[in-house]
Amino acid sequence: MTTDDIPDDAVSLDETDHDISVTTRRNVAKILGVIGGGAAIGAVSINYITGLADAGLVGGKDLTYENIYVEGTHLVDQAGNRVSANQLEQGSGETLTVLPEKEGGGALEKKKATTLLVRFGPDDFEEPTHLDWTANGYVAYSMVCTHEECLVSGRAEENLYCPCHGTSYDPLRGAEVVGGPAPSALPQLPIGVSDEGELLLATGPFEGPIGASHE
Amino acid sequence: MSEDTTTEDVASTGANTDTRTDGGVERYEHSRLYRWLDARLDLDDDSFGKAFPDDRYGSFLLGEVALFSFVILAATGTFLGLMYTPVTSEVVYQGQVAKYAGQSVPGAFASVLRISYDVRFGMFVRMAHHWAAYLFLAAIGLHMFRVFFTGAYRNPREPNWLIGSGLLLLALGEGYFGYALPYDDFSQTATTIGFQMTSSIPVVGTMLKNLIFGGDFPANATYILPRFFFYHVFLLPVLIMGLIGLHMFFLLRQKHTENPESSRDSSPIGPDPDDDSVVLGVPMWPNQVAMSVIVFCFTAAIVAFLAALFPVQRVAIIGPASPLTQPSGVRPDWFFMWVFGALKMTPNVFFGYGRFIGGVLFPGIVIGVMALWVFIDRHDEPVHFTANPLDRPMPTAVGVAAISMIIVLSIAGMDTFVAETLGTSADAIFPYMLGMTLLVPPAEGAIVYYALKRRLARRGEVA
Repeated sequence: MTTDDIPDDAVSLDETDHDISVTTRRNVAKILGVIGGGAAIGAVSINYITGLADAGLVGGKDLTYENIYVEGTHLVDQAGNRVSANQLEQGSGETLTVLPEKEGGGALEKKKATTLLVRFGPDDFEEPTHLDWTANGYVAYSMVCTHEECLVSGRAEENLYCPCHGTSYDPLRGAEVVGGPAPSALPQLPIGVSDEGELLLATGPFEGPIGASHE
Repeated sequence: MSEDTTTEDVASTGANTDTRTDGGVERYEHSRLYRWLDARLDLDDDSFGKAFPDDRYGSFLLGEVALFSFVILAATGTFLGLMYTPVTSEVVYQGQVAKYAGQSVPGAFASVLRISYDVRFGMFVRMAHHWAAYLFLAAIGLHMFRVFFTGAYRNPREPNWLIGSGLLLLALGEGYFGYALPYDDFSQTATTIGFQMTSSIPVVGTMLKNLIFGGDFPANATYILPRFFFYHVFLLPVLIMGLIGLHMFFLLRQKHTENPESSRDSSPIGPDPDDDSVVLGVPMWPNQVAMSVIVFCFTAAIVAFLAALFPVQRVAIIGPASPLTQPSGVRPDWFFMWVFGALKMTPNVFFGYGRFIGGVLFPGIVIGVMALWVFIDRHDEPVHFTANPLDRPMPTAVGVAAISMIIVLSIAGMDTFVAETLGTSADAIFPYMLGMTLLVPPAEGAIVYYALKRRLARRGEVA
C-alpha cells in the first residue's frame, strides 16, 4: 500500500494506521464473506436434506400387526383359497405359506402379512408357545425375519430357517431364536378351527410387531 | 493472434529439430489434419510426454483396467438403459420365454427378460455389463492393494488415495443400485437387506432411509425403483466421472511413483536417485498410449469371454420379485459377500443392535480406516519411489490382515455352501466359522509383522 492510495480527505491517518485499517477492513470483508457464503450454502443444504427427508413416503404403515389379522380372518393360500383343517398332515412338521383373506375374498398379498403355518402333533408344543393359540397341531407365525426382514422360507431339520443370514427359529417353542443373528422370536398368530370344523382362521391379531422395524 | 501462433510453432519446431534424433512427431508434418490440430492444440506440448513408470510386472496397469472397465460399463449401460423400464407394476410379458409368456410380471422384470431373450445382442450386452462391473471392482481393489503395499499413497499422494477411496465407495453403490434394477426375487431381497441396514442406524437411520430410499422398501417400491434407476445411470456415474477426472489430474500433476529397482539402480550411469527433478519412464505418447490400447483390448476381450460363457444373475431362473416368496441360496454379489458374512457372524448378544454393529458399524470402520490410512501412516517428507513391501512390516501386516479378513468373512457369508459341501448344517459349522473370522486375520497379520521385523533386524546386522 503506497501513500498514493490515501484519499485526499483521509488527513488524520498516518501511513501505518492506514495500512492496518485496510488490512482490518479486508479481514472483516473476508469473514463476512465466509459467514455469508457459508450461511447461504448451509441454508440451502439443510433445506435440501430436511426436504428430502420429510418427503420420504410412509409405506405399509396402514398395515400393523394389530390389523393384518383380526378375530375371524380366514387363512388363505397364495391363490386365495381358504385353508382347510386337513391341509397338512398331523405331526408331519410340514409348512405352508398362508395369508389373511381380504374383505370380499382373495389373499392380502403384502410381505408384512406373510404367515407360516406349521403342523405338528397337538401335544408337541412347549412354552413359550401360546398353547391355546394352536389348533389341532397347527401353529402360525409371522414369516418376516426379525433380523433384516427376509422371509423365513427355509428349514433346518425341525427348525424354521432364514436363508439370508442363517437364523433358526424353533417352531415348537414359540419360534424362539435358537441360532443365528436375529434378536427376537417370530410373533405368533392365534389360530383356531371354524365352527364347522373345516377351515382355519385367526382368533386374534399377531402377538407383536412384524419384522425388524419396531415402529 | 494467428500470426503469433504460427511464429511460435515455427520457432518451436526449429528448436525441436535440433534436439530430437528419433524423428518424433515431425513425421506427421505432412498431414494436414495433424497441422490443423497442432495449430490449435499445440500437440508438441510437454504434457503429452508425461513419463509413465517402467514396471516389469504390469501392476501399474491395474488402474487402467479399472478405467477401461468403466468405459465398457458406460457403453453397455447405454444400450441397456435405452430398453430398461424402472416399473414395479405388473405387465403381461409377451416375449419368447415360455415360462413367463402371457403372465403378469413386474414391468422392470419384463423389460430385462425382453432385453435378455427378445432383443438381438441383448443377453450378451447385459452379461458384459455385469462382468465389466465385477472387473471394475476387482481392478479397483487390486489397484488399491498395489498402491497400498508399495506405499505409493504416501506424501504427497494422499489426496489421490482419498479420491480413490471415494471411487471405490461409488462403485460399490453402483453395484448395489444396479443389482436392484432387474427386480427379480434376489434383487428384491438384497435391496430389503440394504434398506433394513440403513434403517438400523441409531438416531439418523430414519432420516438416511428417507434421503437414500425416499420411502419404505418394499412397500414403496413403485417410487423407489425409478429413484434407483436415476442413481444408477445418472447421479453416481456423473460423480464417478468427475472423480476419475480429478484422479487423472492429480496423477499428471504429481507424476507416478517410480520403481527404484527397475528405473535407477540397474543403471550405473543413471541420475542420482535423490534428484527429484529427473523423472524416468516411458512417455505417454506414443509408448504408453500403445500399451493402453493393448490393455483396453485385453480388458474388452476378457469381459466378452466371460460374458459369453458364464452367465450371472439369471433372472429367468430366479423369478420376478414377489412379496411372498424367497428363493433359497439368496446371496449378494461377491463384493458384498464380506458384509453379508459379517451380518451372519455377529451373534445376538448386543441387545438388538447386532445388525447395526455387524452390518453398518463394522464395515464402516473398515472402510473408514482404509480411506484415512494415509493419515494413520503419515509421512512428513515427500516420497517419490515405491517401497518394497518387505521393508514395511506394519503396513504390510495390516494389508495382509485386511485381505485375510475379507476372505474369511466372504467364506462365512457362503457358510451354507460350505456346510452343503461338508454334508452338515450351517448351524453346526457356525462356531468354527466365527472362530476363523476372529482368529485367522490377526494371526496372519501377526505372523507377517514378526517375520518382516526379524528380516529387517537380520539385514541390519548384516549391514
